[in-house]
Amino acid sequence: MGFLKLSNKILLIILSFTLVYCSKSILLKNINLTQTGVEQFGRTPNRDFFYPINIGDSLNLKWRTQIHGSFNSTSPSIFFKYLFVPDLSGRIYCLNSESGREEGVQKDKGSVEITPVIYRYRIFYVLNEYDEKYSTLSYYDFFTGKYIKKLRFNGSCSNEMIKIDDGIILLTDGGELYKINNIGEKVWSIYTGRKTTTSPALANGKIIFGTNMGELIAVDEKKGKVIYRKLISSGFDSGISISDNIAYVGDNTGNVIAFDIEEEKVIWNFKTGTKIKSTMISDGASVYAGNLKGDVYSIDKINGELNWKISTGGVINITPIVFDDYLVQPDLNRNLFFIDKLTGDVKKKLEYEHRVRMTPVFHKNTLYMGIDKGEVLAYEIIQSD
Amino acid sequence: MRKISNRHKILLALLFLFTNTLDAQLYFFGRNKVQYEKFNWQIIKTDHFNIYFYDDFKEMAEIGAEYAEEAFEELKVKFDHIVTTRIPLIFYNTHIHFQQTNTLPGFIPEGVGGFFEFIKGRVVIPYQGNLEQFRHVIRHELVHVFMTSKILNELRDHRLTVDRFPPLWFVEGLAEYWSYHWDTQAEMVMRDAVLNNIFVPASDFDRIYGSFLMYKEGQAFLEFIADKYGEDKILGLMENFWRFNTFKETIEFTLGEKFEKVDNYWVYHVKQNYFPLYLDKFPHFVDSRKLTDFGFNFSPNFHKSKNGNDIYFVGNRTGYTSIYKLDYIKDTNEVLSPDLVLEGEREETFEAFHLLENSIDVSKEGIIAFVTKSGDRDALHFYSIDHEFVMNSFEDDELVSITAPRFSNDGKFIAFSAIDNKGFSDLYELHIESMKLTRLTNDYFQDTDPCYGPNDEYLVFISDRTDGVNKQKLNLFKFDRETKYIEYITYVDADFSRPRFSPSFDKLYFTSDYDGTNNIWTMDESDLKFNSGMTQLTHYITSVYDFSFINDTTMITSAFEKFSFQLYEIDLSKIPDSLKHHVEFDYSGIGDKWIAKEIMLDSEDDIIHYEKEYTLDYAVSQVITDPVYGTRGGALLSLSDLLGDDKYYFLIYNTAEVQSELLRNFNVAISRVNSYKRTNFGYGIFHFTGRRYDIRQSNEYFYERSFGGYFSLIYPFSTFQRLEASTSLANSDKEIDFGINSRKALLLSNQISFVHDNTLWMHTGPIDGSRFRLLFGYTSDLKYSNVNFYSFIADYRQYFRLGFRTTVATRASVFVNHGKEARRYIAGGSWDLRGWRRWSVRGEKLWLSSVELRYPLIDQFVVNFPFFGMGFSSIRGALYFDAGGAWDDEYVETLGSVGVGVRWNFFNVITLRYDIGKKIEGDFSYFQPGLFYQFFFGWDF
Repeated sequence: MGFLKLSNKILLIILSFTLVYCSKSILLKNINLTQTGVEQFGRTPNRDFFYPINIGDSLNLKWRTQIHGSFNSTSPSIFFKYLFVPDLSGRIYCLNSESGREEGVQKDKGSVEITPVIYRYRIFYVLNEYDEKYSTLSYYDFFTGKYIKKLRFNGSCSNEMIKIDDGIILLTDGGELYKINNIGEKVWSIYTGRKTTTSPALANGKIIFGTNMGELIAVDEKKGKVIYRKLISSGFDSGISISDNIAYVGDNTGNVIAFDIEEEKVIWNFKTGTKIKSTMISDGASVYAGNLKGDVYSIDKINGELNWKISTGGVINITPIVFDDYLVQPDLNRNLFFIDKLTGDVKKKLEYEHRVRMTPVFHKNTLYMGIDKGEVLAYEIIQSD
Repeated sequence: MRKISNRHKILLALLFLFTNTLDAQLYFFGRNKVQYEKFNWQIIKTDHFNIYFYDDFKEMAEIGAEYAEEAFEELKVKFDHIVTTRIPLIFYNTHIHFQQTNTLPGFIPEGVGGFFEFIKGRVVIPYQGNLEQFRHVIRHELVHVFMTSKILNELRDHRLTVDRFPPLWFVEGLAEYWSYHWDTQAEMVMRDAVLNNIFVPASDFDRIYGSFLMYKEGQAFLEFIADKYGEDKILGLMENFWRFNTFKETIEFTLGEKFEKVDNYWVYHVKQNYFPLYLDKFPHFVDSRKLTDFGFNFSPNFHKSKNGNDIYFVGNRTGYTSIYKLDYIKDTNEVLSPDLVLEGEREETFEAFHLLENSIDVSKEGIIAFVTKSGDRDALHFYSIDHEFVMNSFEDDELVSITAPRFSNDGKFIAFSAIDNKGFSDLYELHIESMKLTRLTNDYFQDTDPCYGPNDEYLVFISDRTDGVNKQKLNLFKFDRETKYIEYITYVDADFSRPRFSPSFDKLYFTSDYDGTNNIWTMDESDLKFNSGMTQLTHYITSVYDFSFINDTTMITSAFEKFSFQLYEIDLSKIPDSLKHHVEFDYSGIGDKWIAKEIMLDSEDDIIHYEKEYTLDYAVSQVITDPVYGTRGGALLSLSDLLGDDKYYFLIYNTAEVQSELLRNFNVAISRVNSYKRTNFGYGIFHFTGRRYDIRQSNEYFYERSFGGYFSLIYPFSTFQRLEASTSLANSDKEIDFGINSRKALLLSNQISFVHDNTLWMHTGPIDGSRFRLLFGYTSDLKYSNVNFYSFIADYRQYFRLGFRTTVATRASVFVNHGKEARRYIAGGSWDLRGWRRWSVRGEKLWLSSVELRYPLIDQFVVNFPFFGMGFSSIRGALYFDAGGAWDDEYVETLGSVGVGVRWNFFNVITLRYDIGKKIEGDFSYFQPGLFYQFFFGWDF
């Protein structure tokens, strides 16, 4: 309509661009390096999702914020008082873990599908590049605000990185395994010849991962050499966790397999009947598994017998976390379940407007999680005795 | 092709939305989607669906609901995705009722088995008598639902614009691949395509865009990808969809291989699979005589009379499906042209033949029994060959669809299969003389293709009541007419159809897909008691759809080959014994009668009556700026209920040229259009204001403000004819010279029209049939008597078919407005008086006449540039003569033109037109010097 003057129109346009495009990069000066957080997916190289405390089922929503893109089935990482959240629009957000305020964001064109790994002042993250057939591992120093290194590799990466003392382990979807040191240089790389969408785990110096062809491969973390390959399934798509030298993994036909990584043999195999995509987790006594049919299982860690099973009616493709009392299981069908891990009773169910997308992370009495439309939520746990 | 189909409802809405039709020549013809039924809708609420059904369809709806939930659980795993909103699933009990749906604006052809529409996310499915097919269609459509949801979520999750979608071959191929196994029909289509050079590689899928072949090639391509690269790659294609701008790049990235290489592998795989068929299978032309070579020809029936031997069949050879007769002359290689016996699809009684179904039989006495859609249901007609007229017709209020009529041997009865209001597909028997109907079966098993035994003591029929290890396969059964007992004849893991006894009744013949495609098998009639087995006679590569006997050893078949259905004559005695393959029946696998699982409902509260739920259909807005008139803009919104029966339109726009005019120049219109019942009605209010072009004085404008309301009705007599009536009351203030000369009026306009349209369309316009409109109207100024005129329009168009793609189109039209402030009609331009400047011919009275020869000009040409190519197809030519004249009080002169033209249908969106010719000037006395050249768009008249 003619009543808007031309100058007003121009000003409106400029302001809009400014608001949309001028967010600041991640630049954090006051860092306490003595404080630990959750600096990789599963906290430890062997993927430990167990928190040995009782959390109860009482929660207070501490804050809620919205970022640009949505999430893959991954988790944020936490360091000091900062939450690093990857999103599918190619951004890494740094949020204040106490308030949810945005402290900075790194923007790229593509998607970040896996948990960024924090090493001191630096962050490793993988960008699956838009309109390109390669992806980029970026190593960014958020103290200086500069990129240290960028490593380009073919294909994409949906496998979680492993943080080790002297660097990270990266496994691409095309089956290339890299060890990168803490200054961002490649130490070694090997091509395994197998496509893999299984997040690896590391224990006893062995990097263990599964392939789409059903092999379990062990690679020496120091030397970068394949130790063994065992064909034990028709194909894997779920992550691996290792506990007491036993690797737990789910396969495409719904088998939960316990594999002794030293003895190189299958200990037991539990059939759920439907494909498993999330990572198996263990609390030392039981293994917890969920499949795409929406069933959640508790399986005896030693003998592979069923403790209990529940049917959620949803889709379980997100790794849960477990406490002394509860298994906290996200469900793609907009639910977060608090399940009594001994009995399998659903004690609490949080329903959301959109799909639950991220594996929760627990740190300093706060549970962090993400749902569709880029919503990040922080719940303060009112712990039971 | 029926271009008008999709436009019908949209234009109907515009008719209701915009009043003042009397001063506009914008009207349309078009067929009618008739709502014969007032469906009494109910909803079953399941975990993930709202299942809409009506009247007696509850039992089948509950079965369908169970199929839907079962499919949902499977698809959420396949897609690694969940649809979090409730999915509306709308069931119709037959295809005839399905064609009445208002969820889509256009007509639904017979071949459409269901659809998923994107605006409201509705899945709409007709039940067609077979539960396995019902399950297949439900699963197919739900794959669409999941795929759409997955893709849209992938794009939104990555914050990309939702402006692209996978190609249609992938969408439909995936729906087939993930909903059903590779079946006989798929196998037949692929065999035919590959072995007859119709098959296209994946890189050329555009060439078969939208065709059934595309569905099957897409399905086959995805199966190949899954086999060679892994099933997970199918999901990977969708999960990587966000990453690239072209689907080809997505394929390359996901499979890790160049697309051309994948395509080459696939073509090699397909050829490897199908070429060896030639070793022991045959095309239909081998050892047979081809009787037809054009169109689609089904259901042959031989009849011997004193006048000769003829083959009667249902065919589509012109665009209208009809009954034809072919002289049967033995031992000639000439392919004769059949004669038209009874033309369909031009009038209500024979509104549609069901071309792909078994729908015709001929008795020894020379009576043709055939089925057509006739109004709101199917009717069974009896046509006398000798007397050449339809003697009788049968319909029943309980029966919606009828198929497979079959005379008894004594000619007194006719058996057929029919679907009733519950959706049950059962056998019936009609005593022809008394028209007494007897129901023979009554359950949800599909029973069809009845055939009388030698002494009419029993019927052989096809049914999916097969249980045990071959559960739901369509096997042959025997029905004793006296005891009503049903027993198995065959029991194999295959589907059967068309049982027919030989003329001497010593053998039973039928088709079966036991070897992968429908071939002819036989068993001795005496074996029907002992059920010993069946023997394969033919080994064709593609299916035999139907057959009829000339004598015990000679047969006429309707067979699928080169993507058409043609009639062949085969001599059974020439089939060597070495090719006859025998299969024994093993009845040990028969189990308990199978029961279709119905959804378990928590309570009766899970079934509720439908109450209208309105949601937004679309919202469109636009702002335009030009240096002369400034900035203006507006919006159009549409709401409708879930079943599409009730629509609301909101239009708002502003035509202010300066800020001070802003409030004065708001244009608003609110309308409601209801098509729930047979009589569609609409009403609304409006306020229109702004400058109008005065067609009395060129380049002059006047300002008019009018506001008021209207009411309109449309009553369809049939698909082809309707009555339209409308009335509007509007206050009109006109400023002719600003501030000086103005006219006020309170206008009451009434009009009534009769419309007929049974035309057949081709690429650029009608090619057969006729259409006309007769309109009477009256407009008067109730308050100031400033306006007072009557209107009359007669517009008649007839199309005389000369060949399949050639026609002579004629038009004769008269437009009259007579009285005070009678409005002028306009003509001139590419749409009527070609050569004359567009809309330059004006008068309160106008006549137009045209004769045009329409013909195919260029079927296809391709231009290949170094980096890309372009193809153009179906370019048509026109040779025309136009004449007309316009006047107010005294006739001025006759205008005319002659010329040639070219038309091209641009992706079914618009037709581009280019004409060259000479005007006839001087009151039709001389041609213009030189030529005129005129380019425009628009369908042929």
